[in-house]
Amino acid sequence: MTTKDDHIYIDQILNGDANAFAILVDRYKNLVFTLTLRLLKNREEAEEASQDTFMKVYKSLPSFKGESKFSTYIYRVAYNTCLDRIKRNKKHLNDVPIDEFTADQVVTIDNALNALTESEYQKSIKDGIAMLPEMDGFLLTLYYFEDLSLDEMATVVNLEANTIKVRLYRSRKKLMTIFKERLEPEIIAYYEGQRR
Amino acid sequence: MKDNADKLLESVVEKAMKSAHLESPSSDFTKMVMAQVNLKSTTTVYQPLISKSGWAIIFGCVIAFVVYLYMVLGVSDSTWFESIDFNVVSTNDIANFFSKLKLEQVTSYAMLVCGVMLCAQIPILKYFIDKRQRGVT
Repeated sequence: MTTKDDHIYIDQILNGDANAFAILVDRYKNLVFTLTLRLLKNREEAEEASQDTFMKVYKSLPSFKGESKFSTYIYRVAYNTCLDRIKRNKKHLNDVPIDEFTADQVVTIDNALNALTESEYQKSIKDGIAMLPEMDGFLLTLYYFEDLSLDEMATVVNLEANTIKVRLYRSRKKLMTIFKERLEPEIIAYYEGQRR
Repeated sequence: MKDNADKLLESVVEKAMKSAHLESPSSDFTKMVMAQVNLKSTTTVYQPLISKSGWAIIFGCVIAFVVYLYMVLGVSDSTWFESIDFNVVSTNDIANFFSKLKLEQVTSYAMLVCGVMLCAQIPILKYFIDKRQRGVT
């Protein structure tokens, strides 16, 4: 995602051309919506939170000093907006056990996933990510879609870079645990048998 | 062995995450945001309660009133100002009470340090509040 010319549009907006904001909204709406959906787990709520995010960003543009990337700034606003909603709704944060996996087990699950048809594969992945606890889905999305460094991610969620690294590691394991539980035991057994 | 498992885990999760694609909001999402933005742009134009010309008229009226008083009543005739006893400021009970109060040197130093500390807290607090607000918005 290009961020080089974000400041050109920001300057235009600050000079009174409010419509230039539409370009920034189009540029970031999918990732912002995906991130809010990972945290809130509800499409309507995620859409509202995404709109709130862009409105907050628009209002605070005059005070945006460009110390961090504009994208990082938007994701931080999105994260804080969702946290406020989660606190307000007192949502229960679901959790998934962190299992240990050997290399063979990982390969087995990967093979079993690859054996699914394209649409089944897509659905399994999508459902698996949706079942992840809020923060895990958020961090994995930020990491794999935005290629943010650990330090930049730390700025977004206000945590230490090392903590992010550990959480990413645990999130991957949680996702594998979900895949393992969701795939039919027979399929897993079949691919385990094939490896022996 | 464990490193190998971790690397495999990372590549499988990366493949899974990247194949999931990003979710898209409703098709009129941008339009809805821009409607709010345009609403905000039109409603937040700062309008002072008293315009510049309003202030000029008020200022002119005050000047005209003072000049009118000066011309009609005359300043030299009014002696009400001289009749006020300003001694009350220096000879009241409160002023007398404080004149008897003598501070130890240590106490005055302590008060001075407290004052300096208080002044030092202002920029620190401002920095933290600004930072927190930036975090929230």
